[in-house]
Amino acid sequence: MLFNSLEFIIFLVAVLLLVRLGGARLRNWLLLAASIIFYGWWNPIYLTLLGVNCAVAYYGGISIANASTPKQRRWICGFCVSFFIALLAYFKYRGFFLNNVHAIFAALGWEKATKAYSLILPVGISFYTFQAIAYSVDVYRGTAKACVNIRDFLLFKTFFPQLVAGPIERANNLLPQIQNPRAVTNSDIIEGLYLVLWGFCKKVVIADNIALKISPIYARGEFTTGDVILAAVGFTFQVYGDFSGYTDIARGVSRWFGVNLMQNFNFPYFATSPQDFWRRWHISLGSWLREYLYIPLGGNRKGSFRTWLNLMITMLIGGLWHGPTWPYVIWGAYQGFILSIHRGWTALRGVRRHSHLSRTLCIIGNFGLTLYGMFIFRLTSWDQIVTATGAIFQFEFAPGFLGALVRMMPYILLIFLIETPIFLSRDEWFWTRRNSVAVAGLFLFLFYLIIIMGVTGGDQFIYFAF
Amino acid sequence: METNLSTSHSKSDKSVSLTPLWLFILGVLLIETALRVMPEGYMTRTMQHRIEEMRYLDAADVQLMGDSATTGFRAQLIQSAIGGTTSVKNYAIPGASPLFAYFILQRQIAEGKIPKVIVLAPNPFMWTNPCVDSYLARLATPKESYELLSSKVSLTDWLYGTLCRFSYTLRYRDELYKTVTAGDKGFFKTLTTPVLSVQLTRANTLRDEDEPPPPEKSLLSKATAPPVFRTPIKFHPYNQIFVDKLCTLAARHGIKVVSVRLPVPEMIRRDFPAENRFDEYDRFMTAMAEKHSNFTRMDTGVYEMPDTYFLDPWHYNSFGIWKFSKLLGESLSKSPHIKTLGATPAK
Repeated sequence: MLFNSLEFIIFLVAVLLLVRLGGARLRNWLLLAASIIFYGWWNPIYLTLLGVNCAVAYYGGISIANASTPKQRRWICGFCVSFFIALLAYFKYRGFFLNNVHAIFAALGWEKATKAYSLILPVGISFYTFQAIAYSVDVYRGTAKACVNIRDFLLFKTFFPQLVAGPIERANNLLPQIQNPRAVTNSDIIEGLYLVLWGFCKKVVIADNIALKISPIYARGEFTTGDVILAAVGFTFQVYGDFSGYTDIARGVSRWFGVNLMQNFNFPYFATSPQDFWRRWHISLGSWLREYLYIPLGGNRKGSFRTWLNLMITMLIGGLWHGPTWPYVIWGAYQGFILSIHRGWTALRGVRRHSHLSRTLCIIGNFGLTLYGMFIFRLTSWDQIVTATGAIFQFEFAPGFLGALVRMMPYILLIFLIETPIFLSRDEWFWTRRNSVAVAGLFLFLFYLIIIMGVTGGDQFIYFAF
Repeated sequence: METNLSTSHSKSDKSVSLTPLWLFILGVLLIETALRVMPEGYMTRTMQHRIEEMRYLDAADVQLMGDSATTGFRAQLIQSAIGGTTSVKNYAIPGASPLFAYFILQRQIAEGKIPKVIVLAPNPFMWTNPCVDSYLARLATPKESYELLSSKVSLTDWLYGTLCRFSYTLRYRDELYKTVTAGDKGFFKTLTTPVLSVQLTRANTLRDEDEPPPPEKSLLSKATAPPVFRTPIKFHPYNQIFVDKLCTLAARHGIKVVSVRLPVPEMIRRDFPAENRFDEYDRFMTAMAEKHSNFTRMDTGVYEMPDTYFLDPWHYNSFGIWKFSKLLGESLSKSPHIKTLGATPAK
């Protein structure tokens, strides 16, 4: 069930009504049932895999908590993490691995024909796997308590707004909210409505309209310099609208159930460095990679070479997390590379306070790096990356280039129009704190933008594929 | 500058009121109510007007049904080609899918305006789209709306169509989208365009001597061809369900249903080759003929016409209309269903 479908809206209204009528006693049961229906809507078979994942995480968590020795705890935690990774690897990376092995064999002349492997990728597997790993490790580390109540645990794992595309929630944020009594306040309703409307607007108005303009460029696969600019700028804002739109809808819907999901985006295109970017973009993944991969690998504590190596490993895995294709791996390597360069530069230069000018220049510079990163993220093969990168330096512009860029601008400006005041005031609820008439006016504006400018039958959310 | 964004809720919930929510709901209601005074677009008014006409005009022996491609056909030319005293009326509706025919016939029967033969001749590509939302938004009575819901139309399609009925902006969102994104003001012009009446259409008044000159240049281009041309025709289940119901309803009232496949531009085969494009079409027609004794598939022998006969990939120009109206009339005159009406076959 896609958020941007009428069936989801019907589903949501029904769940809101039922939860309201069911009262506090039935709330978690109803939400759990709704989450199972929501996920099973794609394909009920996917529920089996999710169920196995939940079962291992649940019993694993309790076993870790009850283990008598640290060694036992370590073994159980290791088993759980390995199991989750094995499941993810089988369903998501098996085809990729085998196809590459065959390609290598074929290149060596050991095998004449290569066979293409593919498995059905269960929706949201990367998200719920990472959530399960985080849970097991948190219980092992003692930063989260193992949840004994199976209903609450299952709801923590399957809570439908965040199930298929995050944020990758941690036990110590989401579990207590599920376990403790909660009330839906007026601010939950108003701020939730703002998040939902703005989230839909970012998805169906901004992302999907930009997609209509740039998809033909990517589909053509041949680029001039102008095409690269259009495709890079377009996709950079498309993917932001798409993913942050999804997150906003998820957070807004959760607020209507009295649950506060973690923030996943914090003006990433205003980042002053690659490191800053990863604190602002897909925060739940960035922090996951830092806490459960980079730091356990040694982080920056074991000298500059190990720091560089750890960064590269972390970002390569981060790239591969997005999908089993080489362009994602290359994108991960690119992120690792620019993070390493930035780290080296900072070490050399020392940490200094930014002046307004240097901050602005850093934002512009980092945005340039982000544009290229997003561009290669969208490409589908190494050849395309090489050809398209070469095209940047040909300085060729098709006659319609400027017009196409101008036609894309209203969508991009809309993001700045709504989000700049929030960035400057550092208050996410800048808009909902205005007077009632102004807030209602904003809601009406967003609502009619969605109705009139929303793309019908637009693409599914990009991150649903991960 | 700090990078952290304050996401804390309002300190005291008492300070947050639900007034913005109520004002928002009130605003939507006010806007939609105010928009009800806006005139409807040409297509909507034409649909509503023609359906009303069909209810009170005398029924013809032969009644043409279809979409905008069919609307152009000259009833007079078809009638003279059939000959005899057989009357022909073109009751096609622009923007209609085959599904519409069932409800139109139902309304005609309720008024006692029963044709003898229905010639169902939509553009073959219209079978892919049931336009349920369009029917619910513009035409459906509560009873029809219920029938749609209880006939396997999905709740989401039904709800969307019903919402379109109440919301002007939702009903015309495609047109408004084009206006905003492409500066296309065509929709606003259609607000004052006169409706295409069954009685006033030139279809009833043209004579043989009015034959238009053949156009020299094709206006079609591969680039502007709709995506539906690129793949084999896939019959939408709603169209199948309601054409099946149409045949059952027609049989109960002694009405014959003749299905005609309209010719499409040559460019479709040339530019978008697809071996099995009409396979599903043929399968469905054969199945219907086997299931309903009052259903026949009529073969005009012409499945393609030169590109110069078309105004755009969907619609014939006046020359194409002329040519196919005559051909259709001649073919109908040989049809056993028409012969039983006492027509004199055309030479």
